[in-house]
Amino acid sequence: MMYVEILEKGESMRWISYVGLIVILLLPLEGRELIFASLPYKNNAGIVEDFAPMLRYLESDLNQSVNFRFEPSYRKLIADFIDDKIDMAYMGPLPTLALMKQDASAHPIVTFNDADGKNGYRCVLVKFAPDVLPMEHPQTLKVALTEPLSTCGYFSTAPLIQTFTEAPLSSMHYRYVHTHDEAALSVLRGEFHLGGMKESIAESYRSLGLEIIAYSPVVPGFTLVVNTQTLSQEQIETIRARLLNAPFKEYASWGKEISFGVQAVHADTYRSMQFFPEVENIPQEGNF
Amino acid sequence: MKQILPSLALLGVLYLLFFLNSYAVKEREIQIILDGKNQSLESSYKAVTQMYRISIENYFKYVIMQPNVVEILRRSVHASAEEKALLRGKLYRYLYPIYQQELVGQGIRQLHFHTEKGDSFLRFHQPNENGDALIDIRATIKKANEERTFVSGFEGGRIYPGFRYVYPIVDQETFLGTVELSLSYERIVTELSKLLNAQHYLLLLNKETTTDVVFEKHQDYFVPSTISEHFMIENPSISPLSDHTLKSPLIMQINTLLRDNPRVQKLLSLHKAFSVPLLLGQQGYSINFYPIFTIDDRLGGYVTTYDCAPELVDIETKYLTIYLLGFVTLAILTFGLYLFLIQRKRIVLEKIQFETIVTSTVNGVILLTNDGSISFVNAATLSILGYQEADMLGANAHRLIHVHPQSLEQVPCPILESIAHQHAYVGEELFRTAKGEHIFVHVNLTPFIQENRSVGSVMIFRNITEEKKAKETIEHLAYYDSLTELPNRKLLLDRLNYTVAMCARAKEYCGLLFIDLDNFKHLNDTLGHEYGDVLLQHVAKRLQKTLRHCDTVARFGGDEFVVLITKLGSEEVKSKTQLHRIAQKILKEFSKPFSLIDYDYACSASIGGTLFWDNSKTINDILKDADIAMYTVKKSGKNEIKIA
Repeated sequence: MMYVEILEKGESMRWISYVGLIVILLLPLEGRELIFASLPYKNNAGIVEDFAPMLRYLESDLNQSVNFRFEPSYRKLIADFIDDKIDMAYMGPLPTLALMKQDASAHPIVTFNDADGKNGYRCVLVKFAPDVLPMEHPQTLKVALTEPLSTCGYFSTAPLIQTFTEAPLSSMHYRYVHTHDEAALSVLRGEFHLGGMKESIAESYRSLGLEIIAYSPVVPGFTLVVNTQTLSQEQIETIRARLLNAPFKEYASWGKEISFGVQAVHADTYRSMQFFPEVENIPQEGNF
Repeated sequence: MKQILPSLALLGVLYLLFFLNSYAVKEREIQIILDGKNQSLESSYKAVTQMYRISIENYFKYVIMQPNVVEILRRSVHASAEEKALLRGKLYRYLYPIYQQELVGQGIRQLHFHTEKGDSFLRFHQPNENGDALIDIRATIKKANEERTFVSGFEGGRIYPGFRYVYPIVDQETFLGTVELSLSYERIVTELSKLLNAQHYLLLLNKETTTDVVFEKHQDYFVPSTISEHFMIENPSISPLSDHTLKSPLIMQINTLLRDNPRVQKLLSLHKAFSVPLLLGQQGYSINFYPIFTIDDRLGGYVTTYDCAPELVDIETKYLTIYLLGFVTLAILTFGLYLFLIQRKRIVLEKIQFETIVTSTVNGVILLTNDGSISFVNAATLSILGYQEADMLGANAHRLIHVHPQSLEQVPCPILESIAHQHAYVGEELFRTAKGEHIFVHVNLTPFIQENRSVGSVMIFRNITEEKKAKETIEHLAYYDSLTELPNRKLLLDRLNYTVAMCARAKEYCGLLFIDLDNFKHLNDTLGHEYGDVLLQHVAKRLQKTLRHCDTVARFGGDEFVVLITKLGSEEVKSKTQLHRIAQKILKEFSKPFSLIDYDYACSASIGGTLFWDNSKTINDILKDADIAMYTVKKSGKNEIKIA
């Protein structure tokens, strides 16, 4: 009968938990655990789901456990990395550049490919095709942006707006809507005249009449940044080599955003982004 | 040991029967509780879905079916791909405020327009996913499309499974497609929680009919359930309901138990409503599964609730007590039975012992009822008395075997008296045998008491007839001379002692004659002892013949005889004369020859006598006086008399 089984299992589970506790208590004796953090593009469970397989893969060669640190914002992630509370971080190109400018020990080692296998992507400026924009009064335009430190947010949209309207973004109405999809949808709903987002996202909304009106240069893909202050060169090399040599079967089982392989970061990977405005000049909030 | 094993076996069998019966009753009680909970879930679920059906129909009629919407759909029927994209965007822009404010607020997760061909036209919950063919994978759409009728039911989908309400859109007899509104399970749960009191809710999605048809890129919206590999749940990262439920350690523990239980797995495959009782720690839970079916009658999933059920703890406690009490009761009864068996065995052994004793004893044993009837006789009784058992059983013992010398009025029968007054009696009685012979028996009569009342008597007797004869012989040998059959010296002394006492009291003279045969040694020496013995026998007979019966003639030893004569009178002289005359009579008798075998022998005797009349002389004095008198005669020539 059920009752008996429950009692028996309850007893056995208790013993299993004791053993587990002992193992957990003994683990620190092996060495300091490494800390990994990701941009908060998903909730904590989603981040664990995406990155846990990759971290388990790295642990086997590092002989060290890697644990998660969950950050509530891009800004906090950068601040904690600078404070050496993080050993490895998953970031977009803009936050990576921002971090590298503030902390010399931040060192990107690999970039993650897109679904089509390419490394790098473009940001675009969109509008709803039937909408007629009041170009004669550009200051009345409303622009939907993703995040302050998002590559396709203010960072890449401002130059596209400047080119398309011949007026600075700062002179228009803009607001952060947090995600690329929301930027597209808010334009479709008529809440904004224009929106900035990743090209792939904009393309998916063409079937609703979303029109791409400007493209940015290609920017590097998302990257794994390591902290040279907290990790030894040997450890960094181990991580890099392990990721670059990961077989298809292995990385295909990782989270969707990182399941298309990696490429090594070269000295000129971020060179194309050097002409963009300074990160420090990006407004942290919308203006309406 | 022979009693313990059967007793334990009986205890085991009885307790097994008791346990099985109690267990069945307990299961019925639990089943009644579970049925009640499952019926509540079913009726609540039906009430909620029906309620939504009514409100959704109103949304369709008054919110969605607006002229602008119909116009966009009408234009899209024959539009190019580019035109369709713009129309789709316009429809999204037009209806989004209503969708967001009215429908999403009411828990309607999906507002989905389909083309007249059954393709997806616009999903408000995922606008960039459109154009895919649904007619072959969505039974509701197919049915609404083909039959132009409203269809509702649970169903899988390309993005989310849901509770679908699909309406055909017909404008002026032109079919423009269908529109679907779907409820999220969260919304159903919100309403269910107003009617039910469950702790947690979960929707188990049948993998085969729901999540397997989801777009590959949305497969992450679902994760395997922790209950069964055949069922999925919404990913906790996108479903607050799953997240809330799976964050509960209790639910995770329960789900693990359900997953590992083959019975639960089998029930899940039956596609029927069921509930599972659980006891965890000191809490009772009822896990209720209510199946929901797609419109093509395939299992869509199970609405699952985790309900507190303290009644289960009460039932468990109650039946644990019953099991314990039942065991104790049966153990006591079994112990009683064990004692009974031991007692019975002891009684049987005692009975066998008793029967063996009674059967094998040489004593007669007769069991008498209170009225003196015989209810039992043993073999020895039949042997002693010579009766058949049938002749004795039921007969009155007193009349049949007891020889009572006097009438009962004069002397009560001791046997009957013993029975009547319930006291023991030991004595010698005379019994009558079947042949009419009388035998002496020694009787031991004991009241037979059962349950503090007399039910009769047990009479044990033995035949002492031969014993009595032997005793008499022994006594005779002790007091009489074996050759002459005359009292011997011992008896003589006894009688002399008595006579001395009597004559002193009666004031009468008694006399004692000491007779010694003359020349007896010579007879023995010349003719042999056998002649001497015959002579002694003849002398004894002649003395007895000569004297009165009240006088005692005794052989004093060898050829000496003593005669004790009483009642000689109160005067000394007369008494002496009388004693002398008796002595002369003796001598006269001795003067006749004695016929000894083949020889007549003339025998004389020397007689000394003495008188006594009080106890001034001891018996030794008396014997001595007579003896001296006799020796005086011997010395003076024999065959004379001298009275001292």
